[in-house]
Amino acid sequence: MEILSITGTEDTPTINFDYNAGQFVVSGRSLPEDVTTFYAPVMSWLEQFASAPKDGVKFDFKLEYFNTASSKILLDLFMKLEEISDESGKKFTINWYYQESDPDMKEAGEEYAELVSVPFEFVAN
Amino acid sequence: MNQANHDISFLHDFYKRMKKNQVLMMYEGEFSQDVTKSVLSMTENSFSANNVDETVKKKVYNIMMEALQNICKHEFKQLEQDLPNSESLFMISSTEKNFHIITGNAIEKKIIETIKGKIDKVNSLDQEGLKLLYKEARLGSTISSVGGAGLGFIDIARKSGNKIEYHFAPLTETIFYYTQLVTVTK
Repeated sequence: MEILSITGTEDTPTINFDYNAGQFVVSGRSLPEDVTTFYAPVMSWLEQFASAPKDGVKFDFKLEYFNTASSKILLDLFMKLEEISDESGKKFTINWYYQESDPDMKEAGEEYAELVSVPFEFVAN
Repeated sequence: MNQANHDISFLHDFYKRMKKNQVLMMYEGEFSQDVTKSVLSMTENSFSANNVDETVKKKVYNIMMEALQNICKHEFKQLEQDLPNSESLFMISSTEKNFHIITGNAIEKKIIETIKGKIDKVNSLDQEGLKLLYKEARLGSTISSVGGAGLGFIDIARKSGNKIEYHFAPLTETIFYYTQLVTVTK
C-alpha cells in the first residue's frame, strides 16, 4: 500500500500514513481554503486501506487548529474508519492529542468520540 | 504646509486614535487565503510578544480564522462601480477585559435575513444549546461550492462565549455593508 505523505504548511496539516511502518499521523493546522481538494488523497487512501485493514491500528491526531470546514471533513474521515471497522471486524483506535491550555481542542475530540464507535484515547501534551 | 506634511500629520493622528482604542491590527482591502494567513500570523506574533493567555489566544485565533474565511467566501465582490466605503475590513482591538474581533464587508441585501437568522439563533442559545446545534448541523452539513460547512457562526459563538453583534448599513438599494463584532473575554 502506498505511503501517503503530505508536508504541512501554515494552513494545511502534515499527514503521514505508512501502512507497513504502522504509522498514521495527522498533525498541525488545518484551515485550507478548499478542504475537499486537500483531503481527497486522504479519502482515497482510506478506500485502499478498506481493502486490507489491519487490526489494532492507531491513528494519531495532533492538531493545533482546524476550521469548521475541516471539522466536517474530519467527521467524514472518522465515520469512514468506523465503516471500515464495522465491515472488517478489525479494531482501530484514534489517539486525540491536545494541549492542556486548549480545552476546546479536547472537547472537539470528545464530541467526535460521542459520534463514532471507534474508540478515542485522549493524550495531553 | 505641503501635501506630504499634511499626510504625515494625518497618519500620526490616526496612529494616536488607534492607540487610544487599543487597535492591535487593522487591515482593509482585498481578502484572500494568503491575507488570512498573514493576518493570523501577525496577530499570533503580537500575542506572543504580549504574553496573552494561551487559552484566550486559541479562542481569538479560531474566531479570526472563521471570520476571515467568511469574508473570503461570502463578501460581495461584483460591485458594478467603485462604491465608497465598501472595502472589506478586519480589525482586532484589546481593552482591559476583552478582545474585539471586528469585520466588515459588502453583502447583497437578499442575504441579510439569512445572516440575521443564523446569528439571532446562536445568540439565543447557551453553551450547551450551541454544542447540540453544532453537533446536529455538522452531521447534516455538506461542504458548499465555496468550501464552507455552514458551521462558522455556531463555532464563533461557542469560542466567544459572548453574543455576536451585527449591523447592516445600506450602500445602495441592493448592497449593504455588514459589520460584525465578536468579543472574547480575557
